[in-house]
Amino acid sequence: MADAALTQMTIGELSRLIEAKQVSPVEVTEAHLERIEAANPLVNAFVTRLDDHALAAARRAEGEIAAGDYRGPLHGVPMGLKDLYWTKGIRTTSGSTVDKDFVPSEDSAVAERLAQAGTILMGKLHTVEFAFGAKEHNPAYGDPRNPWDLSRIPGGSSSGSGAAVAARMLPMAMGSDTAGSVRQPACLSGVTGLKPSYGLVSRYGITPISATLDHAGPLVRSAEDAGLVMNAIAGHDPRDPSTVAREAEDYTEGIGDGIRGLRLGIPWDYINEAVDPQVEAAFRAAVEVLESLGASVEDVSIPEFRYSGAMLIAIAGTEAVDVHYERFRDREQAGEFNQVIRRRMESARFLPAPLYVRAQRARRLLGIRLAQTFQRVDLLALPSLGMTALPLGAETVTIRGRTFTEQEVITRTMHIFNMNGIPAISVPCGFDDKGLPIGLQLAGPLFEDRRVLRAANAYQEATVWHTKSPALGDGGA
Amino acid sequence: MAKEGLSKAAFLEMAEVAGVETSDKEYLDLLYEQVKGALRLVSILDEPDLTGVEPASMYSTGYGLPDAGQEEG
Repeated sequence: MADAALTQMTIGELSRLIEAKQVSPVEVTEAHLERIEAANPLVNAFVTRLDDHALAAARRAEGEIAAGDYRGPLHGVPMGLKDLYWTKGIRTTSGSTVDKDFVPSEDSAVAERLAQAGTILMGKLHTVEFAFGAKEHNPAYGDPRNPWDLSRIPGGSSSGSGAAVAARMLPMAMGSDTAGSVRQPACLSGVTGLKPSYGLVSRYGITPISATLDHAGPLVRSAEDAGLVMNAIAGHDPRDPSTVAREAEDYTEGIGDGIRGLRLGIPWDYINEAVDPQVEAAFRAAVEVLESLGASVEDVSIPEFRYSGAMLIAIAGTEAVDVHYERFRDREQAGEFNQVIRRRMESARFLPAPLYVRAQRARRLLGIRLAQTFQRVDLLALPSLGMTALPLGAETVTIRGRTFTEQEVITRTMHIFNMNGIPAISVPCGFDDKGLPIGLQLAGPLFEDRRVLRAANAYQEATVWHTKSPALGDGGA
Repeated sequence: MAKEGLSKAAFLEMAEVAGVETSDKEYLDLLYEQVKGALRLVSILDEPDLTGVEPASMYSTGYGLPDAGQEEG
């Protein structure tokens, strides 16, 4: 019997034990495999399990560490990749039957870097088809479920990543975030999710949606863990021209320095348009914690946020059509798409080209407003989402008596930060009366990822929400 | 710029010209509704005064996040 306590640990906690040789990568891997065996039939987070591959990698890591070749804090740590990340010799479906037989001949840059860091790849994780949505039914591979309530969505499009980390099947998983697809499942599944600054992490070998909006980021259990993962995956990659050549940073450096004197801006006008009262209460409580730690708080207004949804349709839609252009022209392949996803993408073919340019101009206008705002405040804080997890199949949500379509609200507080590539993190900050997780989102200026992580870490050092785990038949924690 | 008053006939003509796969009439009906909805939503981009605002461009990291104080919106 493997030690189940190992599955409750963060990367930081596991790595300290592994480095001290108090626990071996094989023991850690076996504990997580046992957890996957028990929890995955309920949660359905994995598209492809790689048990044998994982055990072999764990044995290699064990041998390397025993021989004194310790690579760092991710060595011997289990992880999963959203099935959008190419993996050499391992099927990569992108959540679609269109790619059901696609076996890449090379790894994505992130898979490559995580392998170099010594992580143990445990499997490929569910995604909404081609990551073009937040919750759509996936007839090909089944629907992942929220570990806190199996009748509800775990969020998406990195649905399996959020569910697997929340259910303690993995201490870390990679997701991708075009309009909130790391932070939104992190929020709804009660884990920590970081969208790093655009340009820090290579998207090479990640099936694209939108070249100017796609970001790769981790879903983990703490801000410290997000920093540890960033240390392994960030860096210039000539194969992804969006990546910037910057001096390597240690994303955990100064993470424990606290937030005394930090100025937080809260865009209440935007938040108030769609926020559930219980979410608002949890968010206000989280802000009080941040104030008690020495941060100051002020209202800010960013009117251009209201254009972000339209920008998303014009930009992400147009760029996604470009990605799948040939497939849409092929009757057989077009028919293999989830028709809801296909329709959403293909509708962008009818948008006039000048609209794309106008959206890019509005995007710059938003960037200018953000730059001005970050002269007054150091971070923006808002609820990660104005709602908690929807039931599977729900198309609408009612907030304060007003009914919204799921699409109107499920990423409205998130894509606002994709438009200008600024770093943003979602951390757990409470539960509603149904026991569903609520998230706090913090966003900072471009390349101030460390500031975002430092604030999130300060909040987590002062609270316990991120340590809670769902029952799933074993009581939780 | 984008108006929601796209007629079905105009939509079908555009679909034909754009090479959209048109054999599935049920799909086309649903796509037409989706397109009308998208045009309605993006029409808000007519609102902001974008005079003198350059478009953000791909791979220009930060998309218009200028040095502090460089630009006034």
